[in-house]
Amino acid sequence: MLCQMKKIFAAALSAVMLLTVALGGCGQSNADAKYVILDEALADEQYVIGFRKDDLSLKEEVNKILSDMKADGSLGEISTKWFGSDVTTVPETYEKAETTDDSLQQVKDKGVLVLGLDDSFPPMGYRDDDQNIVGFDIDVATAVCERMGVELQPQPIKWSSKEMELETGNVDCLWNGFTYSEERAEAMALSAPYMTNRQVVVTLDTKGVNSLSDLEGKELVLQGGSTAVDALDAHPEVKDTLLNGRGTEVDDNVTALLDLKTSSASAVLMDEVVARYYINTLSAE
Amino acid sequence: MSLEEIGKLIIQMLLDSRTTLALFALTALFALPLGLLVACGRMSRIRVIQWVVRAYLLIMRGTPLILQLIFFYFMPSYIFGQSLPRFWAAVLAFSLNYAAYFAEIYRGGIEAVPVGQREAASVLGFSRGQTFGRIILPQVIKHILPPMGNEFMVLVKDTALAQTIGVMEIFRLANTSVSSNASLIPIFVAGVFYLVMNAIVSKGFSIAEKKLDYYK
Repeated sequence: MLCQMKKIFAAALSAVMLLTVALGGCGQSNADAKYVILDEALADEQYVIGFRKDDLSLKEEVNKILSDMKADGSLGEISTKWFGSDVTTVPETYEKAETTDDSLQQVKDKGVLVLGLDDSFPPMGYRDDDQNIVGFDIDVATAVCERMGVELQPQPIKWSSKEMELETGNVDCLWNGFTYSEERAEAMALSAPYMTNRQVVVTLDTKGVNSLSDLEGKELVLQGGSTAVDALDAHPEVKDTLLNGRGTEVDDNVTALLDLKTSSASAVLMDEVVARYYINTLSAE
Repeated sequence: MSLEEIGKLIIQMLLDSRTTLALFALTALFALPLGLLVACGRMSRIRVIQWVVRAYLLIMRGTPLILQLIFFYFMPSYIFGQSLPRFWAAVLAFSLNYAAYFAEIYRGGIEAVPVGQREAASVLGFSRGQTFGRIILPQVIKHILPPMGNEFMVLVKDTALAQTIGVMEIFRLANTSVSSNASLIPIFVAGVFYLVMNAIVSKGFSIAEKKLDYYK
């Protein structure tokens, strides 16, 4: 039995090696092409933090702390670390509104703030090589929790179940490049917007796409269920000219960007913040 | 991804495969006896029990496992105001789901034993319990091994669904590393992990089959 186990592990190891070599050799045709982000964006969005609709005192406290951090420069420092400059849009002063609920007290009593995130969303919240959850949002949340006197507990969740996770009390907030929308503002208590994001078109310099009008008859790839889908729907003048009159939806942004290098797809529509992170990572390889 | 990064990923995956293996082992541990109980209920002469069990089998086999996971994780919070821990909610959903499939496999095995054997046993003075334990069950186990092997291999792969309710198992790890490394390699590494686990399950079943092949 032991001998057989050894054989199986040896086979597995060689399979990993083979795959590494095979994948390394893939997609060489566009290997030298450079990623380009078009100047024209499809939508301007704002990142907010989502709380349960009734948890107003918690929301007000986080808003206040974020403004304090903006005023004393500590928020700008974190932003510079991740984005090279202060890109945050938090006001420097904030007047807390009157609240009567005990959500803030509850968080303080249990001593932890549970932050729900999709841990595959760099650079806002993701895992480093040692599987620690890191990111811009995580750094900011850690600092906020420190000032609140509680511990931050990042809880990875399936992003498609985020509303249920929040409502059933499994997480205290959604804080992970969470985009403002009217529907979300109705269903939850949203913090003041802390950062602006754009839905941008990413392409390769060999694809011949220099403006939105060049996308006519071309294939545009985007992440299904993301706000990129909403942005494209809001621009029928772009959407209708695409190949088959719609975008090609894939599971995640990495797949979309890899598609660009290996297939006939011409462009990817995605969050600018995320796009810039990936372009740096992919170009570094 | 560099070889060093892949090495780190493989080590992390070995650590996280403990979750996958625990989910697999606990599901098997709970679902195997529960399935036998359900099979008995399904063959019960009491109408009410039979109908309840039939409804259970229809619901468990007739709805997606991913839906059942979401149900068992989120429902308790709406009813009792408290959720089960993620991992245990997954064990509960998997056990109830797999017990339904196991039950039908058991029933197939039990009903395949000719009635004449029961009659012969009763003539020889065996009690009902003795007949089942000493005569029927050994034959059932032998007959159901191939379909059970199927289910066990599917179970190994189905554990990947537990990420729906935030359980950190190896496929979830693969997905998050794909995002942070901008490379598809982690998915294929996870594939090798599942393959190895299933190779072991498959080997285990063929050894068991050989051991039980006492007529040859």
